[in-house]
Amino acid sequence: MPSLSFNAGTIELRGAAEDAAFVRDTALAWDARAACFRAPAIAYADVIRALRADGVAIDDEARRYTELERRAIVHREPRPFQAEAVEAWRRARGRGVVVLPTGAGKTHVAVMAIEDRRRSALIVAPTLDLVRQWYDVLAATFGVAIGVVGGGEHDVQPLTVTTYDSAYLHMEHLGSRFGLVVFDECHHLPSPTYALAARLAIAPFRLGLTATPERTDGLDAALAALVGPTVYRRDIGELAGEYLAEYDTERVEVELSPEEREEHDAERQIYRDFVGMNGIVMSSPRGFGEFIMRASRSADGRRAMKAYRRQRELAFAATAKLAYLEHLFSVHRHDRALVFTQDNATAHLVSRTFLVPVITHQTKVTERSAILSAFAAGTYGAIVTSKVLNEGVDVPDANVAVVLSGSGSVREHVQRLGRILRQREGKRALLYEIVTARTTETFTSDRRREHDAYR
Amino acid sequence: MLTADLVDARRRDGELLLRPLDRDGRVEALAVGAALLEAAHACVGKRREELDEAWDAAADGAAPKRFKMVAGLRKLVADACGFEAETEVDPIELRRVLFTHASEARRAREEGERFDRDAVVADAAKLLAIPPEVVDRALFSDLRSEHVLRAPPALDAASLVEAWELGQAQAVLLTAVRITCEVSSASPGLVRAFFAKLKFNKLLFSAERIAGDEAHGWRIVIDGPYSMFDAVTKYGLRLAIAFPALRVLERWSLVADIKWGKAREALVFRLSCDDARAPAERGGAAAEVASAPDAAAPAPASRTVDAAKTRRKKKSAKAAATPIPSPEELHLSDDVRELLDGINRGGSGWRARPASVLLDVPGQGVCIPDLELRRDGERQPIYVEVLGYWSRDAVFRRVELAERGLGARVVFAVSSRLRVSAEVLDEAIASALYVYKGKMSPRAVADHATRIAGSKR
Repeated sequence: MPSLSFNAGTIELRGAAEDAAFVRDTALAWDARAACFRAPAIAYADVIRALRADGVAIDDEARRYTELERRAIVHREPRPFQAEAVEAWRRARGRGVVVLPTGAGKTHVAVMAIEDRRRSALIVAPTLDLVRQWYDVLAATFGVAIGVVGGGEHDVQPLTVTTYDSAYLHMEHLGSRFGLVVFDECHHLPSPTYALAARLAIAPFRLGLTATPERTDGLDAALAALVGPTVYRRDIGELAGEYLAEYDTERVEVELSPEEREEHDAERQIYRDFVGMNGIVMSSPRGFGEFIMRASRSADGRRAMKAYRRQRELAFAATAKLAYLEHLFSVHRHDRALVFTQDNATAHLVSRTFLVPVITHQTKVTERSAILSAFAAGTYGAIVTSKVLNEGVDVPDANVAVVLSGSGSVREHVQRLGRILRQREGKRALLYEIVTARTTETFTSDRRREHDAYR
Repeated sequence: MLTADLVDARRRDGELLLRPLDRDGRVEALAVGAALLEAAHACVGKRREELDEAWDAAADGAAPKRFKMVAGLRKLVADACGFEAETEVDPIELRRVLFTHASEARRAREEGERFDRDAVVADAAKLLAIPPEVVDRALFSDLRSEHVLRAPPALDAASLVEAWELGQAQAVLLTAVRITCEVSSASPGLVRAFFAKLKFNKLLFSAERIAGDEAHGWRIVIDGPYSMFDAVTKYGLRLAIAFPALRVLERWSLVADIKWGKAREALVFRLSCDDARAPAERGGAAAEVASAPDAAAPAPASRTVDAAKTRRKKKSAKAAATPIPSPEELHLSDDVRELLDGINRGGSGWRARPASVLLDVPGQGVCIPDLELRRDGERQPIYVEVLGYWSRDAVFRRVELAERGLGARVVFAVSSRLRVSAEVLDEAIASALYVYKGKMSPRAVADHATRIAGSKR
């Protein structure tokens, strides 16, 4: 009897002749190097189905995942849209993407999917903070040991949590051990490297979770092949009030001081002159890369780069911005506020000036956990962060967000808003966006607000 | 290691070509390297930011066209520096105390009351029993930008430039999806070390003798299991790490299929021993250039050609004199080293040492044993090849090789995780398949060796 096995992210069919007809409609291809048929692991379910349909019996050694021995020990009544999402996913043969806004309870959808399929499951999340969060939820819900791969740990259990980076590195060894893979914040998955994590796994069941599947590079189309089609979608506007906190957004424009304005305009002119003289089109996809490259070639270029940085710095951390932030800290001193910045330097400046804790990618995991715990406990009333709290990390008590600076990304802005929308009784969330007038920030702000959530 | 964005190269007709250093370029590289190193030595005790400024100034006079070389040298110098955080007080604890106190103070104040930062800092300093000015200084002293240079690089300009030239090729190989190389060496130990390096890095390869150079030449195609379906760069780092073992061979060339740049453009990258000179000789050339009285002046074209000829002559003399590393110098992975020590301590009568042979079945492939076992009264050694967690593929290929006649007796050690039965190797063959769970047992390997040695086959 032919046998099917898993080998380094591929499946091999041995014991079948090179001209075997039954492989014709499958992804299996003859591999002369090893004298066997081979297919990427992601094709496992299709291969099994095709062989079964043709009545071909095989010895399946590839599947090394198990059925979960224990059911969940904590049962939460799902919200109607969560039940609908899982039902839609089930109808799509357990392969698909569920799009729900931040704070709507995507984690519970995944728990229901694991409970529904009862197969060994791997959860892939973008950051170690999220890995820690998933670990806590799964341990509390299923009451079993949860495995962790990443951040210096390598413990594989029937329920395991990992990062996208670790999944890319280790899936060639782990790819046969899970029947279900949950890709949290799955808009990260379609990048060329991370996509391999999906391709090297045999998991017949796949669930993608995101609030914002769209990518500016258009690669989100690949999600259908890597995970499955979008099977369910609800946006912020549809759930606000009933399942998400009500919210208001407020854009505040501040002016540079005369000295700042003078310096800003002078520095900007130096940068613009260099760009113009070198024929660099900054609006083109390669524009910024070309600017960096040319700037590093000469003293004039290095000066232009310095000027570029300085005019941004002035816009990002204008005196009036910081003064308004002080005002907001005062007004919301009994609330829980998250302050978002575009860069680490501004985050550290805010932290140093107002003595609020800061979380950036450089913050060690233990300190991050301590800060988030103290924030949840009310010890800290505010946290300033650059981008690491943009997505996923659960800060349910936050009710005020201040976007001090940011990119033009709609996704980033929606994710930041999502941080304060977790529902609490009587909660009304507030998002402030402080923009420096007559700088590129106003244009950037307009771009990132092109979403229903801000209309 | 350099990153691909720092490689000084150009595209031409589907190929990526490194820009080699000409005589002027080498002089400039050595000068920039020396200036960067000097700046680092002068900045000991200063913050990374100040060091960056010093490096900006040190490289200011470099020709604009050499900006990638400057950036590459600078990265290598930075990698070789030792930085440390100033640790007069634990910054994490300091932040916890300061921010907690600040949060309490902010909450306690009345509407419109000013937040007195200085007072909060002074209170926190009291709690921590440190002067207030230390609070501000140490607040983020653990940040990378605040780190202080403690140990300057312990290398000279010539070895820096040498490392940059090696790094250029390695950085290109980071983007490789497959490499085909041809190697030739009269030193089996060196070829074996190269194969061992591939194996150690879990790369898959097929090797065959080169027609016309059957004695010493090999053509080797190197990639990974998934490469059959997609041109992935997943194995690029391993290919780059293996490159130095290729470079020490007497004759070698490689053709790499790469995916270059942000657009991951499919290009070909070629390199051979004629392009990349041996490390020792490069140092000599650097010294020659640096010490030349007219070092700074552009060299006449004829002189450059002569210099190149001289270098080639020197190179061939050098190649002939390349010492064969002793087997002990060959790279052994930890599990093989442990097995070797275990066998030598075990009292089985077998003595183990790193193997230095390649077992070749013409037209079929090659087997690279890790250990050679000998015992008194046994004329021919028994070899051990550790396949470990490799692929089942590799095991079946070894079985085929053994069946076709390796010309030597081999114990193949295979992890039980590969789900291969010891019985797949016919008993009539003078080799054995040792399937182990978890860790290899020196005793079991010795027993297999004894069984093979005792058979009349």
